[in-house]
Amino acid sequence: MVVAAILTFICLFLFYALLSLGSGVGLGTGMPDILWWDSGELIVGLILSTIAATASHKYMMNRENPSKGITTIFLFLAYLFVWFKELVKANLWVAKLIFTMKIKPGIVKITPDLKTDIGRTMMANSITLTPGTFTVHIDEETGDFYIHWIEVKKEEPGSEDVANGFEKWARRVME
Amino acid sequence: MNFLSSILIVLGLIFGLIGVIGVLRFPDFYTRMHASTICLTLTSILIIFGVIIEAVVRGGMDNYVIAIHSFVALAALLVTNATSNHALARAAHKSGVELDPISVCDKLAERKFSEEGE
Repeated sequence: MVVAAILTFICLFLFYALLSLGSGVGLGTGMPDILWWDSGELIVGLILSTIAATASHKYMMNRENPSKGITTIFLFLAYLFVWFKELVKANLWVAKLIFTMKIKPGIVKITPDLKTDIGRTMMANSITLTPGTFTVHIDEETGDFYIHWIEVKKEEPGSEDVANGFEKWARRVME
Repeated sequence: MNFLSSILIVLGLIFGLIGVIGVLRFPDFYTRMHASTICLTLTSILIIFGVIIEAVVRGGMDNYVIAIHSFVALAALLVTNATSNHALARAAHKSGVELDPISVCDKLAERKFSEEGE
């Protein structure tokens, strides 16, 4: 429990430091600088991250399997590259459709095999951020995704037809 | 400004222009949202990467700070835009915005909304 709180505190403080980076270079609070940070800024950061960590460490850490957090971060970074490749492809595709106007829009239903909320969130966000597809509705009980697709190739598509491999990655990264 | 960032920013602007043309040409709300997605993904990614490269090339602590903060802004932009786009689409469908007649299917309208409001 204490370990989880300390880990959360470290993450929060590092993030605060990232956001306030450079406060010591320009205008600060007038207190002495530590490297690139204003020391007043760092003290406020310490206080705020302590408060936030005591309040939120229960929700931030996976207590059943703490080491999973590290693998998740690296898998997520790998996923970003896959996602970016898909994103560029989809952008060029929709840019082409804008000029040819050969569209066949429609809302289709897919049923990916995802159990957790975070996995579904990640998949829905990936789908929404890819041009050509976006999530209109998610049925929380059955796990059905209702997706607006700009060019309906099949009226009963599988998850692979709409979201190339996002389901596999969402399951690998988040579940 | 260095060559690579100029190329990235100009490419970003071209994609932004294409997205705007798409918003004007597409027939209904839902298809227009696809066009606006181009603006908010590829355009912002290309322009922000152009800014980051320019800042790193110029060097100095001030510019590195700009580079890091641009990257944080990009991450925040992508996450919040995905969520807000989904919320817009869902609200539009719930309040009864019709799909254009050229649409081939609407599985969500076929399914009855058993839950009221939610």
